[in-house]
Amino acid sequence: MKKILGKVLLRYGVLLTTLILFMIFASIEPQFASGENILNLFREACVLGLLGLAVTVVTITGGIDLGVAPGAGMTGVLILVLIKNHSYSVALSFSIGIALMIVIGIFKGMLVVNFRVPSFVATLGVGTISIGFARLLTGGGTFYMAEWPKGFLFLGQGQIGPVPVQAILIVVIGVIVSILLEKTRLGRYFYAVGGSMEAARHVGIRTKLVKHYAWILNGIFGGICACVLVSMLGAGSPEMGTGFVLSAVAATFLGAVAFKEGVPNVPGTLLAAMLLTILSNGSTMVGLRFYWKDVFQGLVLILAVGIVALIKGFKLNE
Amino acid sequence: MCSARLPYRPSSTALLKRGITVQNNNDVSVLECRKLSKSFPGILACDQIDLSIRQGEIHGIVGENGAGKSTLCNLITGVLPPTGGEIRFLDKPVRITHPSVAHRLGIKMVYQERNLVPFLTGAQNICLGEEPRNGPLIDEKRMLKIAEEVKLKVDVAVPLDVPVSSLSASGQQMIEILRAVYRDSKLLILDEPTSSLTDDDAQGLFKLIRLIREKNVAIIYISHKIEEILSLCDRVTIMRDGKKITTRAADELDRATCIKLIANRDIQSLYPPVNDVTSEETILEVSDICDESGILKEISMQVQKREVVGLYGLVGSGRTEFAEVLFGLRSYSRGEISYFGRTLPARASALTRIHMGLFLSPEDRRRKGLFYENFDLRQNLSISQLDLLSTKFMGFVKRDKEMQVCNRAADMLDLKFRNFEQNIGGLSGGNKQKALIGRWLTRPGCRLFIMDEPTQGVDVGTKYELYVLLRRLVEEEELSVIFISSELPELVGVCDRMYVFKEGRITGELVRKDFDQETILSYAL
Repeated sequence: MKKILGKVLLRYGVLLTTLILFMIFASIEPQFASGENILNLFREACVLGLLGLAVTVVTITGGIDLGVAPGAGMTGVLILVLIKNHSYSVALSFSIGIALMIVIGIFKGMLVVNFRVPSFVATLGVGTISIGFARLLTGGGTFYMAEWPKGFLFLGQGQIGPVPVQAILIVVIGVIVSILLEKTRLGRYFYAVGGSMEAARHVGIRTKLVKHYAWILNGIFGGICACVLVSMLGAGSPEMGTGFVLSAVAATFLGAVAFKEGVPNVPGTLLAAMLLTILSNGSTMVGLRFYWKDVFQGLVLILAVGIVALIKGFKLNE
Repeated sequence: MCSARLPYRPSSTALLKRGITVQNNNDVSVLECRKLSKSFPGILACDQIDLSIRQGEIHGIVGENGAGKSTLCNLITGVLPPTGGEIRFLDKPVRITHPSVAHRLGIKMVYQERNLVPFLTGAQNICLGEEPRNGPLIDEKRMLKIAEEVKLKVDVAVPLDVPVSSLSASGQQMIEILRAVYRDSKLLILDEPTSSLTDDDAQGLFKLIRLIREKNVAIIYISHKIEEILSLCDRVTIMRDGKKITTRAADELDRATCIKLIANRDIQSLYPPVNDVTSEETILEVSDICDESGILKEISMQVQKREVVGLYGLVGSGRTEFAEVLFGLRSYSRGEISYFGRTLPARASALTRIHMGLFLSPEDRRRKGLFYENFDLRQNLSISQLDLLSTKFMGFVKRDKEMQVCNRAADMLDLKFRNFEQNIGGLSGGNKQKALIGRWLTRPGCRLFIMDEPTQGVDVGTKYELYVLLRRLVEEEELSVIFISSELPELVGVCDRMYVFKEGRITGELVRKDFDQETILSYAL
């Protein structure tokens, strides 16, 4: 009986915590639950969610990504530069942005898979380079335009009915990737490579190729995130991604606890992204000083990774 | 720890205080095991061992893989607790609950693999953990001096002031032995010390060991190499199946007698009947294969249709590497492999082999075979044939077909499990192995199945089931099987033919009617 309760708590614990947190903040500060703020929550959560997805697919195959957030920041800035300084169309700029992130993803993949650089180091390095390039592009300051071209702001600030555009986008993406991971052969191979690379080799899986695919997906999600981010802000700075670096990882590990007992998964990551957003948005609304946000996020990261490690320990000793 | 007390050369007074008389007296028993036992679930690793090691003797311990030598040493050095019997040290009963206890008693062990810190010098490694101090700092000068004295004591020529990583294999081993005798050792255990040494180096090692003996240290020398044991040791203990068979003076033994004592056992009806159904057709032809890292040296062998071919050899003799070459996980650099008439490419690809019906069930289930993370039992079973279970477009896995595979595997192997959604870690060793085998046998198209150590960590009942399965595969399903094992009896019991591996070469080939344990052992050792 205890064991079943434990399992239920584990599976739905994150969901419960999200709801509880929401109610706590709402009761302290009613504005938190206002329609406008809820829209904001969703908008922010989507950005974090996309980054979380990028980290999740790479984590499933056994790596980690600390550089996608700064990379998205740089790409966002690039998109703004293209639109403002070179008058590229919105569609073209977005496409170039996504393509760039895919190239960066492939590059990270090569570093990790072919050159055996530990992913922690490789992605941290690429992330730092990204910030550097972004600063070079803009000369260091914030970038904005008084009047953006038509359609630019739709992605990040528009709505279809009561629902923000990016929320629909992320739900669609989430569903597609979920299906890929859970129901297709390639998704199975992702989990196999992450679970035990040696065992995966022994069943004939081409482990290097699978990992490269994961990095390509990482690039796609990072690129889409860049588009959503700049559209949402209507502006951009080279550092705009850096706040998300650790939250994206935290979302992945926290999401791993949710629903799937220690294995990173898509719905979990998205839910965790929402939880983290509620945490940061709520604590600001409620009047806590802004920097408590970092304290909470750090705590959540430690908690999430710790729980996952514990679960894995239990599994091996079963 | 007070640094003034460094009794690497204990005074007689100090020794007397501990109740030891310093005489080259070979009747003083340093270590005594009385009915010492260690059992694990399903396996009795050490069965009431009576052993006595005298001061100043070199005592050899020989036996096959699985005879219980390592477990015995783990008991003596405090790595594992015994489940029965007692250990007496210097005639007083002791409970060695932790390696540090053994260490304090003066029991030191040097393992097969090196345990040195590569960038520290020989002197630093020797004194590691017990460095002479000058207040809070390490006294480097005194350390070198002490290390030199230890070296002189045993008259060995190895530089102590360079990083050990720059020393040869034998040099490193010397350092490790010096480290073991640095502080008041009474019993030194050496596990396969010459496994990575040349013959010359080995001679140097023997000289060192004899010198250590003269300092009244008792030495346990574990080895597979009978010639070494007989030339170096004073007495020899032979172990088999967890039991001590006998202890005799080395002069009373010769190679033939040793082999006979090591191998001799009753072959009970632990094996199903073997019917010869081998066909004339050769399905696998291997000619002069060498692998890129030089482990395999000109291997030639063949496999007929419908036969079980055994590969016997000690751990490290190259059988697993050979299996990896056959399965495409390891490239080979010379020679040729022909499978059903087609040449197998030298550049590795396991996928090609799988499509051709060549499957491998690897040794070391935990690291190379099963998925403990991310996958449940169902996914572990189906992972080998997802290409056959998924749709052409986008590769959606057909859940119903997957369950069919799982059910077939469970039936075919008589798997004991809770449900298909459980983590594979919850299965017993035997069932884990069955799952691993089931993963492959449910895939259609199998023509040659390589099983690497399939009965390792498997209980007796399941072993029998696996033997029956093996014979059925060959006699009814018309497959061929390559059966790799370090347990000679089971190979003798189940195979039609056998190759013996030694140090990367094939040293012998026998057909079933010529199976003779002593001959086979003599090829392998």
